[in-house]
Amino acid sequence: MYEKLMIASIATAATIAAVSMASSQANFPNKPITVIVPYGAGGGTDTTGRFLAKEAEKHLSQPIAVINRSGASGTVGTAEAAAAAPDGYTLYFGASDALITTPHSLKVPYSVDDFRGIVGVSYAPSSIAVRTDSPWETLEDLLAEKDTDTVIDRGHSGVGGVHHTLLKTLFLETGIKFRDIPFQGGSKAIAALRGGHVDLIGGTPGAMLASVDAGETRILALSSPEPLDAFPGVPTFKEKGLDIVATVEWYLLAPNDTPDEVVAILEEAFLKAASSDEFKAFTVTRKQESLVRNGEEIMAKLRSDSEFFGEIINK
Amino acid sequence: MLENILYAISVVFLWQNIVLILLGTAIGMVFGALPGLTVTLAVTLVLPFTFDLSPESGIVLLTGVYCAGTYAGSISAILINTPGTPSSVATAWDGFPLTRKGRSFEALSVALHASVLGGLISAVALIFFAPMLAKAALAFGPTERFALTFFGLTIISRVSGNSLTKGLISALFGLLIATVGVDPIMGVPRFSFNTFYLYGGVGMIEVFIGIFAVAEIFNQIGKRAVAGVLSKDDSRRKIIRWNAIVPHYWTVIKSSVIGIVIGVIPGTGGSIASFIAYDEAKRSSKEPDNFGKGSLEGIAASESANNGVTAATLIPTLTLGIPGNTVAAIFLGALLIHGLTPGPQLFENQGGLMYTIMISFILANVAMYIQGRFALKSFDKIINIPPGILLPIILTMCLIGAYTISNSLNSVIVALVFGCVGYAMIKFEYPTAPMVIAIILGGMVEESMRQSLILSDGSAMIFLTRPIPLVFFILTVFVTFFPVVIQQWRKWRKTAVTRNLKSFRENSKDSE
Amino acid sequence: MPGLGLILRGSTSSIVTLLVGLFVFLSIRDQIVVFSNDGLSGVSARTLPYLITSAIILLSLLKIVSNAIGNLKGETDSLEDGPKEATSYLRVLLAFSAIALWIIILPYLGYEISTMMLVASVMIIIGNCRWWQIVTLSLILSIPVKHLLANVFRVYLPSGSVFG
Repeated sequence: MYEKLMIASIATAATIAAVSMASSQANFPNKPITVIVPYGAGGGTDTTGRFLAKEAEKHLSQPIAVINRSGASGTVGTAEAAAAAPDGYTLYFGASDALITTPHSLKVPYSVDDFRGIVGVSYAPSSIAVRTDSPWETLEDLLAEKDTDTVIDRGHSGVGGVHHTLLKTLFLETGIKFRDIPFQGGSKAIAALRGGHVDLIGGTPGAMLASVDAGETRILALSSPEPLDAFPGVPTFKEKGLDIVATVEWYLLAPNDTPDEVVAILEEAFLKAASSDEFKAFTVTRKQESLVRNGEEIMAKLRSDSEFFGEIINK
Repeated sequence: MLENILYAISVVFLWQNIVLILLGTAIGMVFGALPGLTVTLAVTLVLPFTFDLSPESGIVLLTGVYCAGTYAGSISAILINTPGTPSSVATAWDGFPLTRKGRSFEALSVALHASVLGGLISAVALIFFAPMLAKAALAFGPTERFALTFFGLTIISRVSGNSLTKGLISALFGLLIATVGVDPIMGVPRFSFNTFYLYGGVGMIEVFIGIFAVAEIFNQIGKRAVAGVLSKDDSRRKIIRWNAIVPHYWTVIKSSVIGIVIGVIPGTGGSIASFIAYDEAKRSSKEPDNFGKGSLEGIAASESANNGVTAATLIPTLTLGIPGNTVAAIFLGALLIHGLTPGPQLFENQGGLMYTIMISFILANVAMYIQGRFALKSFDKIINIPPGILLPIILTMCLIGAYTISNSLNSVIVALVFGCVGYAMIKFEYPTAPMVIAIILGGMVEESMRQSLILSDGSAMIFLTRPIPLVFFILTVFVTFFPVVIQQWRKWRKTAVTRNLKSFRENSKDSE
Repeated sequence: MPGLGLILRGSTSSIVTLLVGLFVFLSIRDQIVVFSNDGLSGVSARTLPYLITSAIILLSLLKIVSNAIGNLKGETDSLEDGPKEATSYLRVLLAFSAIALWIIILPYLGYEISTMMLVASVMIIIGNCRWWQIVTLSLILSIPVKHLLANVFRVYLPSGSVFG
């Protein structure tokens, strides 16, 4: 009597185990998906990621939960995402810094090769900005400070990031004297600029929107390859003869060993989300440029960016 | 402007929004009261639900969570000595001793009234003084921030209790803990001891859970006579009288203003406001010795200040697009997702929305008061639960709370380690308040000091030549040394009078 | 010559802080790598840690010395370093071990089982509880809590690697 009961329960348990194992492979996704954002809630990357997730939910049968794991310029969240189980249920939405620039100056337990791409959704150039009451009206005015005694106090959102690296390159190439003031986060840098505590800042132009519209700030130049419609009249470094071209990319990645079928399903859903009119409209309001790349394209871009920044930072 | 106000009132009082406010405040209270779950986490979790609502409804919901979450931190601070949010740290200093004396209901009542009043005053400031205050906030650069946070640090000397040396050592260790992590200026890791987890620094919340909750649990377990209840509850006073707060009205107003002023400065946070308000209340109080042992005035100061911060953090957020703190950044994000860009044109183009935000703060505080009154009666019963049942519940909550911070056991380990540290501090009578203040303010103090020194090329004179830092410096010196001077002067006067009296008596004896 | 024990009585905590301060001071060079200073200010990432640890060491020495002088004079400082009421350190140690054990086995046995064990042991340590209270509370704090967190708050507690 007991033996029968035992056999029955073992059989049931085995079946349940087998079915649950099988079901987690078949019809992906069958439970909610988590997306890790390595920065604080409410920031530029976070809002972009949340908007994307909201769009993608329409194309996937499961909800998408965005969680924030901020710390150490985004490295904490990135490390967690790199070490996550490669089953497609934990994804990573980031901006360039933590993967492309920071690893060259900080020892981090991950690298670009720990990830594989799902989509690249948008990008934004870096830019430099000054107050409207400053003596520099155009980029040329700023460059004319070379060989003078003017010391420019420059602020940015963090050591080792894209903006800091570009500022370093700019000032190094032009020989202008400076003092470098890092801040914790772009908004503190903008506040310092507007309050008159620093003369110039480097950051994404989208974050400076409110200040520009208020007439308090002036963007001098962009680091994109070509001029952008969103910023009429603002030149690029390239067209003024300076070889400073770099962008901040926003992308969704998964751990490297995630199976191809799972990635294909995710890629399809998120490509639709990123190409949707709603998301494109959103990027416009954030002054990002919509540029949708699929998994392979974004990984190629990230690898080349990583090399590019590696060279500059290690010079 | 009038039509905007009328529009705002009509929108906020739509029945859906009333429901949302009540829901938001309920969620905020739960998260704020549980150690390990903070108001920031609550707002983050609620954010996605606002995407499908109209901007006004989303704002209404977030406001409810924000105000209630900031208040509810006082509940766990008072009942189990663990601040539910960092801004309620100062509330625990007087709240928990009151619980020990069986007067937890009074403490909770004062905290509720003080929080609501602080929030309402803050909302008024937002409505009437937003653009003005925002401009002033921009004047706070690195040097000014250093002056403010350094002044906050000197409060340590006044909350060290009996032994100043122990307080200083406690604070120094707090500063040391604050240095763990990536250096803010140079970007190099400090004291990571080759563990990647410590790159992000030692998290504040898990430290609090350890030092306050776990240490206190160890303390209770260690006491041989662990029988009966933690404290006898004074069950007569079950009615929350609003006039319990009236004797402290001036403290409430002062502390709320302090909260507003500091809330407007981006990047400062509710804790500094509550520390400074607490310190000021103690300085000007008629019963300063009560502070730290169970002073209702201290609770009133701390809670009005931290709720005074709430609406004020939205001032720079809405007028300049620069968030005042993390929650304000989330508000900003919520607006951005709806395609709205904060800044002066937002006031012009979307005046109705702006006034909606302001009116919803008022409504949120009212809803909080109503729900608070209901909730307090049941919260208070918590301490009547026998420790054999209560302590395991608190312990489990703390461990879960710590786990959710980093989604791993790392933060639980930190909590346990600091539990041991906190227990040792209790046993060897080292005050925890200085360490906590130092942990909260340490990072800001160092970062702003180094930024200032970069700007001044190494000259320390920069702190004395600019107006705001100079004012704070003088204030610091004044507040630190003035009480000592007064004390000495009084002593001198007493001995002088006695001396005169003596010589008078001798003289009159001689003349007989 | 009075014994070392007498001189140092009451200084336990200060000796600990002194040693910790010293340890951290010495590990600064290794733990904090600096390439340059902050601008022209001469301040670096190491400056503040050095200042803090030096202050800790100095203050600890100060306390030890003043304690020693007080001890030699024969003053007894009853406030220093002594528990006043009867404390059962054994129970505290047991509680600590229970929590540490919870941390260790959580990844393997999962939240529910580990918490059941933790709650039960803590309740036994505190004492004064009926067996049915222990069982009920252990069950409530483990199983329903895990499901509540997962379904309402989308917070997932580990299920344990043993269970796959």
